[in-house]
Amino acid sequence: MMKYIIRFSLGIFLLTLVTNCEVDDICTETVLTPKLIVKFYDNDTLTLAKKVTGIYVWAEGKDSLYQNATADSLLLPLNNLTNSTKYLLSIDNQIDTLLVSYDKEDIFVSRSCGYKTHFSLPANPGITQHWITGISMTETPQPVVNQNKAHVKIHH
Amino acid sequence: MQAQDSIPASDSLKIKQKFGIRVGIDLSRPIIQKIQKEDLGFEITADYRVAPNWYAAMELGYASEPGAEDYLIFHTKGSYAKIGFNYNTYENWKDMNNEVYVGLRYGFSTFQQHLISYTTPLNPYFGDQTFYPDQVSKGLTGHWAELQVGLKVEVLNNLFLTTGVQFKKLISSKQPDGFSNLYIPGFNKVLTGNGGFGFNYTISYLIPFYKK
Repeated sequence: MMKYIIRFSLGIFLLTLVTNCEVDDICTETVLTPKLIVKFYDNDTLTLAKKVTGIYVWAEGKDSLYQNATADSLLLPLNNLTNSTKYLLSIDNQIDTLLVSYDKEDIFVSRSCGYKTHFSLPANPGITQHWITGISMTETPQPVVNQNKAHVKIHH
Repeated sequence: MQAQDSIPASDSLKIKQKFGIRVGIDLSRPIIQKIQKEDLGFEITADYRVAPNWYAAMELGYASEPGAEDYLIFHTKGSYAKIGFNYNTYENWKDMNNEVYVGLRYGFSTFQQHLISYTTPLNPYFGDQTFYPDQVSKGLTGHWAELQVGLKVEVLNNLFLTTGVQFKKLISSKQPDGFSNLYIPGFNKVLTGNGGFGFNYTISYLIPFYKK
């Protein structure tokens, strides 16, 4: 009987080790906090998508996110420590600013991934108009809860 | 354990078996407490033999458990009760009282979760931020079902050592606002799919009431 006890106890010990390191312990998500999607449209025909070429994009005080890029849209992360993020968008040395103000909510994801932030935009982001001519949102107020569609339209 | 010179019991020899209440404490918790330095907890057990192979059984306990994950720091504390039965599948020789048991329990816990800090990861541009909500959610509850398998050996007269494993399935739980029950006292770590696992090393003493 004692021999069984020892074997059984060892078995339990091993089982404990196995169950303590299960898959759930490592975050396997690649995207958690959604980014703001900005899509470019034509100035005259407002519904016509229009690419930008040679664009540089950076948040104030940060490194470039896009460098001399050709893009039909931008994916802009928002700072979840503050209630607004200021981006600078430059084409041919003409710099426009995009000031995005938002409300934020932290949402529990899982044991391994912690939390993510959900943003919502109550009104259009503020812009300057050097090469940008106008701005609108696909929905107002805009909840940034997924990355499947554009949130903000910039006309140029 | 078995005496080398034991004589096979003859069919005509009627062995009287002891019936009574058996009380014990879990030995693994004080040991874990010593290792982890901050994990407090205890579990007391009781069972009562209602039929030759059937035991009504219960466990009462308290746990105060720190939880640290990559992006979360929390602390859970609360008490729990488990009630159910064990069935002994082991056929003893003579007047031995060992058991290989399987048991079922209904478990219930009331507890609180303290969310100390959390991180919002995967933000390479602005950096991962850690927040300190210091939020305590009280009055949380959990209900679960538990399958137990184990061995019980009478090491001295009326003194038993038990070692067993527990497989648990959470039935329902009251979750804290904006967080989740990642640990429940008595249930332990809530695994993916609401499963749970536990083990126990218990020492118990039988207070015999009568023999039959």
